[in-house]
Amino acid sequence: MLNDLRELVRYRELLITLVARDLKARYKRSVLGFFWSLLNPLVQIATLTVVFKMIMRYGPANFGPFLFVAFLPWTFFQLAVMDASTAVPSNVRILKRVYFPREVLPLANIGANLIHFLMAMVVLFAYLAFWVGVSFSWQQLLFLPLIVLLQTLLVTGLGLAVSCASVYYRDVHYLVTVGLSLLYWASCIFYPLYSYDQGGTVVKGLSDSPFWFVAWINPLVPLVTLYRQAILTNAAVPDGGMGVEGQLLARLAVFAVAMLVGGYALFNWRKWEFPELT
Amino acid sequence: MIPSIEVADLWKRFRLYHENYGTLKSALLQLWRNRSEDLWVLQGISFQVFPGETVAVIGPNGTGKSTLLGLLGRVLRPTRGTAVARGRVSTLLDLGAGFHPDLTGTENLYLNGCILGMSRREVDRKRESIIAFAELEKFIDVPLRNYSSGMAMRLGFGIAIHYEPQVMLVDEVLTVGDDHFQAKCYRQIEALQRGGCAILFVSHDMAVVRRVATRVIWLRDGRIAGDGHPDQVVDAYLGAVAAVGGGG
Repeated sequence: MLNDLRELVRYRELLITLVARDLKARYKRSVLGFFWSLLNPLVQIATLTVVFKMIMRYGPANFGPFLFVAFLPWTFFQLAVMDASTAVPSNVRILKRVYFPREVLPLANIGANLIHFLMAMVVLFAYLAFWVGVSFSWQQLLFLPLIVLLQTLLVTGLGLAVSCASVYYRDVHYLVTVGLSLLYWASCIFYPLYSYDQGGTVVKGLSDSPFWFVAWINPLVPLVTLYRQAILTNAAVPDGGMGVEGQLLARLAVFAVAMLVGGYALFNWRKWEFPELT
Repeated sequence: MIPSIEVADLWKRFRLYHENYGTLKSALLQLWRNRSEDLWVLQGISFQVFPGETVAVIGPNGTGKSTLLGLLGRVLRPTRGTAVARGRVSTLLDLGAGFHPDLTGTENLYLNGCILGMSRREVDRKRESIIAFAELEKFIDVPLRNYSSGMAMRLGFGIAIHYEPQVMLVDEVLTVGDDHFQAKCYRQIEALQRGGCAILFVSHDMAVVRRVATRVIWLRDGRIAGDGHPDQVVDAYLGAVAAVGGGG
């Protein structure tokens, strides 16, 4: 594995070039360019706000920011894993001709999605600061790079595993689609992890439901909750149990590192066979 | 002299999976059954190529010519034995492989150069010269989708040549392009030969083989059936093709 890492470092320029290719090619011949990647989450957030807030009258106050903070990391996760499932098959022709560490293909997709995510986060902060008027707690915001890093490790591990498996089984692509739509509802995007009192009415969280165990098996639950705690602490959108960040962080870190090591090991174990199979 | 290409007792096995391989269901259904058949594409091949030599690999389809190139280019792994190409190894890409249709010529130049193993700085240095060689000055900022296949090929060949390879692997692509550009390619190949580059190329065009190669290796059923002077081996090969009607 160490040798594989060294080889990857040698090919870092290829990785950078492929990330640039992804970013450039995605919005060629489109007028809105990068803003398309914002439009999708924006439309979804608007729709969900209308459905939950105005029709069903559910949910925490400041539902918009509450959703937005969860939605951007979710979009990053979703797109990176989806792209990874097609990374190897869509580059068969180069794969069969030239040697390079095969992991640069899924890694390039993940890198491009990470850059998109970071640009979208800038927009999120502008929205929170100027539109909603959130005042940030700088001590909490210091956690943010760490959370982004852990998410990137998690996404990378899962992406490598998925892109490797997709070479062997077509089903993986469909499995990923189904799995993602399940995760979409199981990751505390629309509801908090911990219940809390909001002016007399209690907003119910995942940990008070029969599905409390999901918080222990789905790394996106601590991930999304941590994003909320880091960004929205002072924003009248409490997420209950303050002081649990440490524990959530530990849970997320274990998942992220395990996923990364496992995914990378799986990919390296099999990557030599790719040109023979695709 | 140290050989540029060294192949010693090289064996390569491919697993042929049966039709519905590739779905989870069939994998589960066939867990207890023998799922694959072995196909030995290369069966104990040994040869060396020294700097300055240009070796053509000939033989009927399915005898392992492309597999041999893949093994030398480290795309495939030998089942047994060794296949080593020393120094900077350049592979002439398929028409359009490694190119993105929406990116411009320049953007693709960087992409393709990096895929081959150049650093961005190296591409910076050689860019003008590659564009001039490919005669694409007027089209270099146009998306590749608007290129003709000949233009894309010129760009690909230009990049591969400017890599300054010590070993060049070419699979069946030399015959594309107009006469003018082909003549230019041959001059470049001769310059590479003089510079000590070892070239290994696969071709079915015996005229090209006789013209360019300094040595020919004839593969038959995964083994070397002939290795020597181009005219001798090509004549023997053509004789065998005429006699059996298939050459294999």
